Amino acid sequence: MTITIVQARQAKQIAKTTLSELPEVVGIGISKVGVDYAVKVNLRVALPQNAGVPDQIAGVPVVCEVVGEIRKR
Amino acid sequence: MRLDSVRELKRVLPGDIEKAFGVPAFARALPAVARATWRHRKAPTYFLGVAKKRSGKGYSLAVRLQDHALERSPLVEEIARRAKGEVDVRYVGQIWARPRARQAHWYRSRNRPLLIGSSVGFLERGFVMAGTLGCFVRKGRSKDLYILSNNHVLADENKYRKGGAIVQPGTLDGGAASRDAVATLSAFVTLDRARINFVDAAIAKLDGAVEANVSKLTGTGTLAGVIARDLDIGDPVSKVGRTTGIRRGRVTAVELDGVTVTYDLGVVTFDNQVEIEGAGAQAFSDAGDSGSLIVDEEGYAAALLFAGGDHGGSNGKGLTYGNPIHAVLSALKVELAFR
Repeated sequence: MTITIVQARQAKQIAKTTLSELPEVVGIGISKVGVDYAVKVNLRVALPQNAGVPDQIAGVPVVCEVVGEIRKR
Repeated sequence: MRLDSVRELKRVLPGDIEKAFGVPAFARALPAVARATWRHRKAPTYFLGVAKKRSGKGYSLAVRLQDHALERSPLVEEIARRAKGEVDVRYVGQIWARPRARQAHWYRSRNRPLLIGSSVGFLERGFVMAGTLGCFVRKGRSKDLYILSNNHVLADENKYRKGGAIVQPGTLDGGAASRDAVATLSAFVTLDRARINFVDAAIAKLDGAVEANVSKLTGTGTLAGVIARDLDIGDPVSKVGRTTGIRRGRVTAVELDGVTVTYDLGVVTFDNQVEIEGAGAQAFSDAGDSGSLIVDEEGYAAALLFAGGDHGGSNGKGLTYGNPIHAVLSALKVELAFR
């Protein structure tokens, strides 16, 4: 069954409580993997094997991306 | 620092730094040398200059970095130590000599009537900058028009005085108080390092005599109004900005919380942001595009561009971040002007 944005929002809240204190994390939001909504974790630098970041939260896929330092444009 | 002290540091530091770190500096004939050498450089480079302090009193050592890898590096720390902290460090990237006969892009030129997507900025002695005029807004039933852009474009990260002149083009593109003042800073949403922020936004009231084309999206169409729904993953979007002009992209993430953005005032955290990647092989934005209005495929205003990075995205060209437009208009208590 397709994962909805409502499910992704709930998983995002869980991700925020567990991941937002990591210094490498520079954003947690919602993205998509295929047709499924997913939690997106943005990283300033890569974590070794994405340490501490699960593949799924409550059945919602979690994707990590290294986005570097974000600056005013 | 005194001017002669800065000059002396500028003279001796490159040799010392190259001995210690093996990284060459370019201190003379900057644009031409930087370009010629960039083709052959094997290591990240920088150059030094003299900067006037923004307070107007004294001078500091200008350190201009051509590679992000040098930011917060031991090399820069050493330069700062030698200058006793009196440094003005900025990333400028590679510098290209401008062909003499080449005309500036319209979005970096003086435009009357004012156009969405053109160069704009605040005025401060000894400091040049430019951002992007996002669009025009009105307050209540008044017919008065205001420019909408970022706080850091119109209000100098909370520091510019209300009533201060706004010039089009921005000073980096040759704008001057005497001939290019078009508006005055009216209001901004304070950027606050101590709490969660939602928008980087400000408005400047147009001088009565200055005309504006409120709906023309040069090169892409006409501004249709404000988007009625939330942007979704995969939605195609576009923008016109002072640095990269027209760029198209697609939404890669929404409802992003804890987005940490580096400003001159420090790191500021934002919730509920939109993330966009550039289409094809291009980035969606670059420095100077801040304040650009991001519109959907049908020309509806969707977000206000304010930040970005050099990494990520399916094309590897980095990602751009925008404040949802409803949050911007609501925070400033204004309505989009599009007819």
